[in-house]
Formats: sequence, structure tokens, C-alpha cells
Amino acid sequence: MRVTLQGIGKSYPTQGGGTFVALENVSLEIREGEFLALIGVSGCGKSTLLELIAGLQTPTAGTIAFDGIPHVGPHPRVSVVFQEDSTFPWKTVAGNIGFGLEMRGADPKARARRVEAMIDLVGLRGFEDRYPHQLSGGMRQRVAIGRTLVLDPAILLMDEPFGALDEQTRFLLGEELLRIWRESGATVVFVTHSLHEAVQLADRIAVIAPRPGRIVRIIDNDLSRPRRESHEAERYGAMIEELRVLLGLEGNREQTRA
Amino acid sequence: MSRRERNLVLARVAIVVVAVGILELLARLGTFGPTLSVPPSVMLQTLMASLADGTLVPDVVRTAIEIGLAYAIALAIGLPLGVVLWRSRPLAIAVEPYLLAYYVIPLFAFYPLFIKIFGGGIAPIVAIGVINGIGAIAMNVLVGLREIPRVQLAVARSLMLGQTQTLLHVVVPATIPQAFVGIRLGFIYSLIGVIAAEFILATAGVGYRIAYDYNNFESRSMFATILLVLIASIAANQALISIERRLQRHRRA
Ligand SMILES: Nc1ncnc2c1ncn2[C@@H]1O[C@H](COP(=O)(O)OP(=O)(O)O)[C@@H](O)[C@H]1O
Ligand SMILES: [Mg+2]
Repeated sequence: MRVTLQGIGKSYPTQGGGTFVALENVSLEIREGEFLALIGVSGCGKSTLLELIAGLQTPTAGTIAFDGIPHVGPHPRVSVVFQEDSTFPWKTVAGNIGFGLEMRGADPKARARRVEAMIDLVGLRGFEDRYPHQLSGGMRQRVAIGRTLVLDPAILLMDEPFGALDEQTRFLLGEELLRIWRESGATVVFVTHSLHEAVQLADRIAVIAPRPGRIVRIIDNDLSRPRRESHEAERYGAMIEELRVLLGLEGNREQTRA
Repeated sequence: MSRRERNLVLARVAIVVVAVGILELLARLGTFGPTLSVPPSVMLQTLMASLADGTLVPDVVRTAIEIGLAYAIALAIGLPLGVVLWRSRPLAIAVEPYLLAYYVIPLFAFYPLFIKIFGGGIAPIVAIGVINGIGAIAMNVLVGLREIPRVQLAVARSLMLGQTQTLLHVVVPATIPQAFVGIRLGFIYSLIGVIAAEFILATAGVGYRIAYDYNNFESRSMFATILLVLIASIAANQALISIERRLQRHRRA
């Protein structure tokens, strides 16, 4: 499914009676089946933009359309993976993954079958009867990903889904996500503030500048997959450098790995 | 059970056994004077006898009905009150200071008012039990609802769940562990309210029986009834705590 953002703006009223402009005039065409990264410094409006696409917030200006049809509010074919742990502590891994199907009234047998397959896909075989508090942060995030993927979304919105994880786990889950994305054919919008994560994963990288949040550049990423810093070192390095400049991070190399 | 846990349980039992043993010994030596020196073994015998011959039964039944009624009404008001305060921010902000001061007010000082409003019989007693229970129930439900992680509600909205589905499948399970703390405390507070109210307001019931025996120097019978109240409340609390533990076992560490 294709997403068209046209002149999207979002402002919040401030304490003093004024308005705070979180996003201004964001226009963007998200292509069917692509892997798009949204990158920007903390507080630039990435989560806001994602929640607008998810229909969890309403824009104060502009329109959002799916396959050309304007839409307001959540959409049954659009799923979100949140930055925070969003698993339900009272449900097992299998219960969490099957939650959306259960709510949509799927036939119990069919649901069990799809949950089983999803448990394999997200690598949680052997943990299906565990509860979230018995899992690591990375495994809980796999549960959250499984819970959205099992609904076979046309659009998968992910808000720094690996943000709380260590770099190694992050990289491995990223590679798994790419495999799942290729198999599912879904359109992925992936929010991150990590340059390396964006370059590792995305077909296109939209760079968002802060205050007010706006898209300043969209970079096409045609590095060959799988992408490692060592493979096409020069082009990889150049892309990182370009992003760093666009994000205003020059001379502060520490931040690029943040 | 691990060895450590077993030792812990043994130690706890030992504390009770030793305390009861000391009490037994002191009472038999007449330490508390001729009327109040009732050994625990005699308390138990007296209790068994008065339950067996039926003299205490009507009082127990009456108190049980009062507590049951008070608790049921406290739940029926306290649970929805917590939900209403959660749904309405302005109301919550207005009411919050009073809710926090809820147990500061010496409820029993108002007993003449209760008699005036509710008359004789069990009504004023039940009313005190109700009022004593509501606060803990409403407050814990409110806290539980407020502590639902925002992201869990966002999941519900993103999945386009209806109001009833969100309530049944997200809000209720997310709130139950905390709400149950209030459900348990509400029971204890209703029980305390009822028995204490019986001391001053009743013409029958377990609390009345204790006060009556005290005034008539019937120490054996008085301590027997106190023992019954003690055993019943500890048993009820333990049962509720074990349910609470079960409900909280999947809470995040
Ligand atoms: N509900 C809100 N009310 C007021 N300001 C908000 C609200 N949500 C977000 N903001 C502000 O909008 C800006 C963008 O926030 P966010 O989208 O969360 O940034 P990011 O995800 O890029 O870190 C921030 O400055 C934040 O303080
Ligand atoms: Mg964010």
C-alpha cells in the first residue's frame, strides 16, 4: 500500500497560550513495498509523524491518503511497533502474538496456526508459553513485532523498535527484519536516530530537521545488501557522512553511534 | 519449597507458638489479675463450646451478614467511583484532596449522626462499614487505571478495538493487580468498620458480644469471641493475599 502525505502539519497549544509547531508542511510519497527510514535528532518530530500516519493523532494541517484515498484515524491494514515495551504482561508470548487476531474474531484453529508460524518467524520457538517478564528486552520487542506482523499489515510503522537494545542485538534483529520485510512485501516506515541503522536497513532515508519538524532531504540508498560497513566502505562512509552533515552532527562523531 | 523458605515458615510458626505459650503460662500464673487471666487454651475451649451449643451463632451470623452487605455495597460504589474519577480529569482534580484525606476523618465520632440518619438496627452499622471500605477501593482502582502504560492503550486504538473490547481485554487486565489491593483492603476496612460500630451501636453481633461480656466481667466468653474475630480476619486476609499474589505474578519486575 502506498501512503501520500500532503502538507502535513501538527502543532500543540503551549502553556502560555501560544502554539508549538512540532511538524510543518511535510509532504512525502511512501512507495508500495519500500523500506523507508525517518531519521532525525531527538525531539524533531519523528514519533509525531509516525503517530499521524498510524491515525493515533490527527494532523492540524494537510491530508494523509492510503493508495490515494484520504483517511482519518487508525486503518485496519496499518500496524505499529512502538518504541516502548508494548507487550501485555498478563498474556503469554503466544497470547500476545495472537491478540490482534483474537480481537478480530479469527477462527481459533486458524489463529493458532498463524501464531505458530509467527513464533518461528520471529525466532521465539520454545518461549511460546513464557510471560513477558520472563523475557529479555529484545525478545519482548520480537513479540511486539510478531503481534503486528501476524495481522499481515500492508504498512508496518516502527518507532525506534530496537532503540533500547545493545548494538549487536540491534544489528541482528535488523537483518531479521529485512528478511521478514522481503517475505511479507509490506511497506515499512522505520523511525531511528541511528545513522548506521538507517543505512543498514532502508531503501530511502528521509532526513527530518527540528523546530519545526520538516523533511530536509530524501536520500536514495542503493548499497548492495547485506550491508556492512566493510563491504562498500567508501560509499557507506560517504552516506554516513552526508547524513551526519544534514543532521548537523559534524565534529561530533560520538553521537553517530548513539 | 526451598530449605530457606521452609526454615522461614518454621520460624514464623515458632514465633506464634512461643507467644501463645508465654501467654498461657502468664495467664495460668494469674499475672493479669483474677478476671483477665484467661489462658489461650481456655479461650479456645470456651469458643468451641459456645459455637457448639449455639449461643454465639446468631451473633456470628448477624455480623457476617453485616460485613457481607457492607462490603458488597462498598464494592458497588467504590469500583465505579474509581472508574468515573479516571474518566473525568476535572472531577478527579476537584475530589483528589478529599480522597487523600479520606481516612483522616474520625468516622466513629459521627456515630450519633448515623443513628439519626439510619435509625436503629443494622443500617447504621452497615453504613459505617460501607464508608470505611469505599475509600481504599476507589483509590486503588484509580491508581491502577492511571498506571496503565499509555502504549498499551495506543495498541488498543491502533488495533481499532471497540470500547467494550478495550475495557475487557486491555483496561481490566492491566488494572486488576492494583485494583485487587483495594478490593482486599476494602474488605478489611469494611470488617473493621462493622465490628467497631457494633461496639457502640448494636444490640447483637460479635462486636456487641465482646462489649457486653466486658461490661459484665465475662472474660472467658469475651476472649473467646475476640479469638474468633482474630482467626476469621487473619484467615480472610490470607485468602485474599494469596489471590493477590496470583494476580500479580506476571507484573513486570
Ligand atoms: N502531546 C504533546 N504536547 C505538546 N508537545 C508535544 C506533544 N507530543 C510531542 N510534543 C513535542 O513535539 C516535539 C516532537 O516530539 P516527538 O515526535 O516525540 O520527537 P522524536 O520522536 O523525534 O524524538 C517535541 O519537542 C515534543 O516535546
Ligand atoms: Mg520518538
